[in-house]
Amino acid sequence: MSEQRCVVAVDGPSGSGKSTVSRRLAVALGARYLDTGAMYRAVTWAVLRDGIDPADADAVTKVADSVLLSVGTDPEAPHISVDGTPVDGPIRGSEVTAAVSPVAAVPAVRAKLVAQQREIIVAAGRIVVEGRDIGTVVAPDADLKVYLTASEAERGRRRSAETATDLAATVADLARRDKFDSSRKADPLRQADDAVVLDSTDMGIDEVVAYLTTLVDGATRR
Amino acid sequence: MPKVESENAERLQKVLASAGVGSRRACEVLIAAGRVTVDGQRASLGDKVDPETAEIHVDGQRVVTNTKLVYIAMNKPRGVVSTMADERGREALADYVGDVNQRVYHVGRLDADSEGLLLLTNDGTLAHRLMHPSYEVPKTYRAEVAGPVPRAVGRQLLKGVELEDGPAKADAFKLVDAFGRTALIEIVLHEGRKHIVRRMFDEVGHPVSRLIRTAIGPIRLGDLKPGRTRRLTNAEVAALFKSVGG
Repeated sequence: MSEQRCVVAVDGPSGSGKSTVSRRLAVALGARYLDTGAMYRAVTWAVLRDGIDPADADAVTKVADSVLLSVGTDPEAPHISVDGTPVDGPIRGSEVTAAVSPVAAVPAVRAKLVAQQREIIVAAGRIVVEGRDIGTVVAPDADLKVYLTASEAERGRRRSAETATDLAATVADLARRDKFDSSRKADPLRQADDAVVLDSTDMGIDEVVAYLTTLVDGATRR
Repeated sequence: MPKVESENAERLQKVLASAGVGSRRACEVLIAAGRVTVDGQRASLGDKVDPETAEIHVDGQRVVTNTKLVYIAMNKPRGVVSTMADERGREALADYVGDVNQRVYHVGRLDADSEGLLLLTNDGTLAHRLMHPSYEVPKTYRAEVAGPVPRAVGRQLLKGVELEDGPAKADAFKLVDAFGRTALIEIVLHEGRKHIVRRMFDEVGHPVSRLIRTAIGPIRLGDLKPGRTRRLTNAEVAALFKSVGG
């Protein structure tokens, strides 16, 4: 099954372990890896760079239309650059994190990035795509759709260990972002009707990756 | 007719016989009678298959011929978390599974607080279908809830209740026993949202104090003791495949 076309959609809220799991799964499958969240973050970075108000949808759309995003899909070393400038570090910073939700809620921004994401998927053929609307919008015909989740407490624990921040503040921030992402009008975070739900609360990363590898094998058999 | 011949290909009757379908001679008769399919195509005498990859049905019943595939039923005790090995050192499933050479995974989960039937397998096809929402295998639970439970409660759960994340309804509801302030209920559901049984009983004002899953589709917990596991029989595996589309 090594060179067969295979698209795996991994959706889920922040702190569900999506990124780590998706990258590791891509490595295990010999597939490419696309972090769609990084693309929204990169546009947000450009918005802040240009001194645009993230809440100004028209101005944000102009930025999204004019920037050139290049995305590297090697799961061992994913990277993203805006107009030739690598932004892998800055897009994880607190300024971008604070501004990404309203930017990602602009329908024109989503339409543009979704189109680019679909091109990347077609070109890759064999790819693990993570985000919040992959199974529902970006790749509704994915071979395997996974909705990865974990209890709020566990997600907070993971996020706060990852970013070395205060646990209570992290849990509050996750709840705020989930609520915003689930209630936004353009492509809200929701589970595809045909997604397999994997609750990773009690599972280790290795186990989740091995489990998903088995499921991919089961889902793509003939 | 399977055209692909890998180096592992063996005569179909031999593969069927080693899977326990019957003697080689009896299997030849089945093949000649057109009752055997390989990967969806009717097989004929003389066909060779790779037992590790072929999907074989006899009379429409799945016959698993890959000897590396394992199917295990477990009675998960209360307090054990649904992971094979827990990173934080809590008691986990691997502590109970014992001598299985293959890496197996639990299909779906049971909360640490809940107990009963959990299926473990390394068969990705079956795991994917059992977890896929389009198949919706019914699951049976025994719930000890705060009683007494008036008849209207059962009717309400059968009709459906509105939960935070959408409506939920029981496929079957039966009062099994009542003792003092506790009632024992058997309830059947075909969906697996998180804490769904507990949330449904909370919604109707009868919180669950103990929850045991007693069946997943055609597989029954039976008299399997807590903490014990058993291999599914060939017939059970076939029935399980049947419940998820063959």
